[in-house]
Amino acid sequence: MIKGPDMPARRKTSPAKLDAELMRGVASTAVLSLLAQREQYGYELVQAIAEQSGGLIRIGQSTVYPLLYNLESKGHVESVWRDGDAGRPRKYYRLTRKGRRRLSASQTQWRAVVDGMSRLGVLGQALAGSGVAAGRLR
Amino acid sequence: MTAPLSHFVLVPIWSWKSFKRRLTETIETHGAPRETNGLIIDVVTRTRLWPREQMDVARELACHFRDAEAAGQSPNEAVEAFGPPRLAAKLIRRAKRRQRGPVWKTWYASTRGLGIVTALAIIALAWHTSRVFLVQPTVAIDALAELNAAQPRIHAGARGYAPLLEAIASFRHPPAELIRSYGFEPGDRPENIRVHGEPVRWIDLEPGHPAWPLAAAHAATLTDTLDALGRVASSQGIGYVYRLGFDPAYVAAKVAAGGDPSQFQDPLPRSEWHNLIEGSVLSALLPHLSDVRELSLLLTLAADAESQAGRPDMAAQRLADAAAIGGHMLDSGTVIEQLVGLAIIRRSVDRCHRLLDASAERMDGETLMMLAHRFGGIGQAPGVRWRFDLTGERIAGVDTIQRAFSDDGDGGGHLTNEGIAFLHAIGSMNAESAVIDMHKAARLGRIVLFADRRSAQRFLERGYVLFDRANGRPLAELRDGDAASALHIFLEEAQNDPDGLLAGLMVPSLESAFERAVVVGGHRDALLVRLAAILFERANGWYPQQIDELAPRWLPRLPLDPWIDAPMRLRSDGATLTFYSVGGDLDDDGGTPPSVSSDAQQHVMCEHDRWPADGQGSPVDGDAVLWSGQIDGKPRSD
Repeated sequence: MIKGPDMPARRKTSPAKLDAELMRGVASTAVLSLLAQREQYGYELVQAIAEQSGGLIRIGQSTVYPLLYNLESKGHVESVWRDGDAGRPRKYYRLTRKGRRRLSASQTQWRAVVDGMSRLGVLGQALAGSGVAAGRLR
Repeated sequence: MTAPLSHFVLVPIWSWKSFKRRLTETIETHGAPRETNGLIIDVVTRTRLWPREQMDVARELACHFRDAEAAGQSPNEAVEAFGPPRLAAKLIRRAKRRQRGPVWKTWYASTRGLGIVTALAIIALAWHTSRVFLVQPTVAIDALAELNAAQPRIHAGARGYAPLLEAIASFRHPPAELIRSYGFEPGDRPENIRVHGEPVRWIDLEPGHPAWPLAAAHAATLTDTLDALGRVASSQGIGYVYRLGFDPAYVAAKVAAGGDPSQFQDPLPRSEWHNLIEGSVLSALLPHLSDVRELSLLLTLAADAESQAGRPDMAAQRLADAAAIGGHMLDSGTVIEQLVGLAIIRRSVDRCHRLLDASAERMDGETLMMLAHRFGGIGQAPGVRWRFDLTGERIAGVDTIQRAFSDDGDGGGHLTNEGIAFLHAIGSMNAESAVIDMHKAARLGRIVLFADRRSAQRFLERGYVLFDRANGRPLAELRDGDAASALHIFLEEAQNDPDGLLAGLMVPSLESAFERAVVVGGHRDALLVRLAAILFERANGWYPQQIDELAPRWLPRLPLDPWIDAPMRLRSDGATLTFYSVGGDLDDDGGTPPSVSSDAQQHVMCEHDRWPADGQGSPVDGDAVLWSGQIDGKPRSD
């Protein structure tokens, strides 16, 4: 399982440290990617990331709100209180134009990273040039 | 986004219960399970955000747990999945603060910066405080080595210290039997006689005094002393090596001269402050000062005697010796020695004028040239301003404090806190602040420093009482240049005072020293010009009209007038030769002194505000006449 930034990543072993460094920025890209499809609220985002990543990426419930507040302070997302399906108010987040640009840039970077790592054989021959990893992240 | 006014105005008056109740109502309104209320309130209150922000976070978290319940999670499972509230609160607080407006961010950054500066200042203050109260630095300054650093410039074989000791050992005051007829009384000091009931030192007598024959006759017996002084004068310098405690050779010389050995016990117990002062400071700071003064008086007295006996050449030799010894003192390490040197030079110059008045016609050119060379050699060049600094005094002061305030009581341990404070007090010692700083230091102990009359007067005003050593009466005034006697007076007071003095530092006023040096230098220059004029007249048959005529053959370097950037003036009207400075009005008045104050003669080369002023505050007309004398009026041949 790939750990999100909320989880205690400070293990003493070297691979875990690499995991934490490798995954820095993944959560915000994942949130932006989901919000690009439609506006969503906090709990829904947590569930969606876990489900759509096949459980590989998990964002802690207590982490998603600071993450959303940060994105909001940067102008990548905006929030609005609106009644939900059951008629009760929820705070929905949606992507802004600036957030779309940021998402596009992140996608480009991730593609480059995955392609580069594939050419190096880090991801194995089967994945080289297939775009599977990039597609999953997207 | 800026903070709402309510945050600054209303929050202080909201009670915690009221806010918590509103928080709970909000959470319940948004449908969170009751079991999660505690977690939400815990997280929200830990964020320490503004109330409006806390309320917003509470609403969103309530929705979160409501959605979790709707998705099939039990409240307990949802609480557990949420994670530790402390971490959540911390992350939320940081993120929410980033949403705040620039005004708040600026204010926050400013207060943090101010806080850092304040913290650094507190740390620095604490460090310094701890240093004063806790740290005891090791004594590291070798004060004597510093004071003696200039000593090697005089070769050991060319030092006059050994013949000076010989002079001290061979010097004798007239025996009591000899001076009894002049009023000497049992119990009087042997160097004194009584004239009209008052004690007078025989060595201060001048020709014409009823007791003068006694003095002249006794001086004539002191040939060994005078010869030894001649060798001191012809040396390159006294070459005294400063030391703590008394030099055994010096003590031997004093004992041989009839001194009391008990006065020179060394080393003395450091724990006894009085002994510390006399044993350490005196020897380091005032090597044989009173001896040198007294022996220089003997030389001038002997010169008077030679002159009276019709031997002006011998008299000139004695005066040149006295002036040379004064010059050696001028090269010494401490200001007080230099001041004594100035006093000796000034007396020699005055006696030399008197000798020329009486016997110039009978003195050959060789003797006159000898006088010009030897008086001109003092201070290296005519017109040089002899400058002073307090290096020696500062070093001696530091040394004193190190020894007086070391924790082992012997100067080899650590400085106590009082010692650190004292070192700070004298660290930047100069003429004026030294007195002020030491006044501050005096609060720590009974520190006394003094120098000239002005400094001593301040101590009188502060309640210190000086006693005359001779008669035990309080002194109202100290004579300038008599600081050595004053120190003894202070020390005697210390011995009578159960608290004693912790240390005595002699710090002559630099201003006074500089003034005295310039005046003495001016009078020395006047003597050189007079000698040059006499030699000029003998070579040419007439006296010079201008000072320029004397250079360079008769006067290698023209003395400079300190008031203006030009040589001093010489004027001859055929009957009188006058040597003068233009004075404070900066105008050449032809050698006419100011009519207002005769003090202008003494302040010839001082600051403008010392020159006499007229009613409007302007400098009065007149010149500072350094010497004026009759000439034979022989006209210039051309």
